[in-house]
Amino acid sequence: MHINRMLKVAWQSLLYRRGSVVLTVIAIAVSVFTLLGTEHVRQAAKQGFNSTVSGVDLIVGPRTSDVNLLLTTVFRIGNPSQNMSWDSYQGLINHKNVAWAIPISLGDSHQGFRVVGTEAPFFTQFQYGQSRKLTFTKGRAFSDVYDVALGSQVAKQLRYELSDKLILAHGLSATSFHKHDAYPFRVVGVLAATGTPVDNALYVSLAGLEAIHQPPSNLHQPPNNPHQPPNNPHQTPNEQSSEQQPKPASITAAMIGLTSKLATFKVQREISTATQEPLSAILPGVALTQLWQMSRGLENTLQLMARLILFASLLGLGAMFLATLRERRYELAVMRTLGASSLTIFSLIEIESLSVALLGILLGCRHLVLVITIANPWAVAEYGIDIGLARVTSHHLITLSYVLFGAMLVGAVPALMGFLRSR
Amino acid sequence: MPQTQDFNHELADSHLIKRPLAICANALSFTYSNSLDPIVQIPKWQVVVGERVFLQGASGMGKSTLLQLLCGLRIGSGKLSVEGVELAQLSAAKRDRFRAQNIGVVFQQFNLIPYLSSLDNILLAASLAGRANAQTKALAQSLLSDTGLAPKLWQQRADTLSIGQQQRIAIARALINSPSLLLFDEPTSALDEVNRNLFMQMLSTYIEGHKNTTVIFVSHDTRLASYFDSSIALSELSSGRAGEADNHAH
Repeated sequence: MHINRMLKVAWQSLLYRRGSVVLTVIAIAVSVFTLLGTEHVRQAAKQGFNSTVSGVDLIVGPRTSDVNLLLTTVFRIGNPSQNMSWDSYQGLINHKNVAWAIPISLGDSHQGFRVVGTEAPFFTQFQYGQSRKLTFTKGRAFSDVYDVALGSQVAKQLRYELSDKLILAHGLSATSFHKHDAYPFRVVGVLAATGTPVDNALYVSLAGLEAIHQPPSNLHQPPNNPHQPPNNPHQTPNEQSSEQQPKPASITAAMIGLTSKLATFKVQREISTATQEPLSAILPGVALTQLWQMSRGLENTLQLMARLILFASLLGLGAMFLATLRERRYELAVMRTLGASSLTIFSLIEIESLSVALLGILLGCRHLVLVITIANPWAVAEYGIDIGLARVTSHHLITLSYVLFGAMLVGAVPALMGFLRSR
Repeated sequence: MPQTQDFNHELADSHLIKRPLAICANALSFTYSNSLDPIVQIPKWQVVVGERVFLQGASGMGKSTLLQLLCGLRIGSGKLSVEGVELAQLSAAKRDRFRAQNIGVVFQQFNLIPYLSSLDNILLAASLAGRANAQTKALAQSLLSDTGLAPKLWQQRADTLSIGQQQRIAIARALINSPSLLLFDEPTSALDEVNRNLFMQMLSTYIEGHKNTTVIFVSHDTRLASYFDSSIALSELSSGRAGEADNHAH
């Protein structure tokens, strides 16, 4: 039989049994959706996390687990329970092997977005992806105490423009009862999108963050670090020189770059064994590996569940064709009388089985694209992870070929029975 | 296609036959695996090319099994040649091909693939015979036109048509490959009188125009025997009384 005719017969046959076929197609679509979806999100999350920080040799913070320090500092997941002292940070800066350092101070928020207190090196030294530096789509980095630079998602979602004023809130919840109303910040720059948690934060100077935590009575007499001399009471923080600007007593953590990669373990050991303050120094790559090891169990469970769903739906496919064999006995007998070989009967049932699987794959993929398209802005806003479908990878194709191969295998059972009965 | 060695020999042996043999059975027997007794047992039977045979017999006598043997769906013991070809000598694939190209079959019911249109049912038969080409569709439409079926029904799914319409389409499908042998297995038993007459009329018209087409028409309705050249009971075949190919001519 000509292949076009066979495809037409197979298609008409499926339409004739559309009730059970539709249910089977949906079952396969759900399994394909789950299988590809979990793997895609896993890969996207991994890629997103891996590309969040680049070129940072060590992350230093209060003594805690490596993963906890990484999540808090880089991904801003969870809350810091302790800080490291400003003196320790200064000690890091002055270390002979430290080329640069970026202080990170967390604790405040703005309409659900984290506020990061940092300093100028953040905009010049911090890298993401393949050693890409931060750039601005609008404006510049902060230079004054009450300047704020916005991550791209913050600017986009809250529709801020340059020179807009905004108020920071104490704490990390979206609705805060403690707002720093007395200290409005002015938007001076918007960072280009990075597809990392950088996009979901506001960046202010450490001095600004320190200033807003002073009582309103100190508005024109900003507080100082106890180690610093008193300021001119008639100056606002913006009018003070950088030396005069308030410095914090502590920060959450610091990212540091070393003069030589060879010194990494030496510096790490020195920091970890320092006696004046218990600190942790972690290698971001190693901490990420630990994170993946911790999540591997969950990943495997999800993968196993997705594969079981696929297995069940493929069994359903086989069961459907087996159930229809009885009602098709006249149809198959007629075909044999017309000259259809047993192999033709086998092929026809196999084509039908593969067609159902293919329809399930198309439906599953279509809905996966739809769901990912809808969920991606949320994932980017919430976690700074871009789960968008950039391209079809070989992994997708291999997974789908497994589905088709599975459909061919289970379809072979009723096809073989049809073959044997028609001999 | 291997010719039976004794095909011409059989022809030479018979003084009564002026034309080659369409069917030649010698000691043909078939027994189902779940039975000890043969359902078909024919010592000798010959049908010449172009002969129209009415074969009668009660239910369970093996009429359908005989037709299955004739079209190569089953292989019995003994010798059976159809159109000079010994079916048992062919591979399964060649037998299927031979059936598709040379034999047209119409059953009592369930003749059509229910989910295909009338036209597609006919084109499927042509496709299986390897004859799907530009002219096939025109021929199929012409055959459908002969059935008296309105053109608007040609694209309608077969299972939505009446039994009478389905049987007429089954004839059209059996004829699409211009078969040399037509087998009918109780094709009118599910039809009312009007549809039965229409069916027989259509068959007669075709037979008139195709003198070389051999027809074996199995039915228990002896009133239809008058449409055919000869009539024979299956019991006579089994007893060997049809061995000289001189059936009861009308």
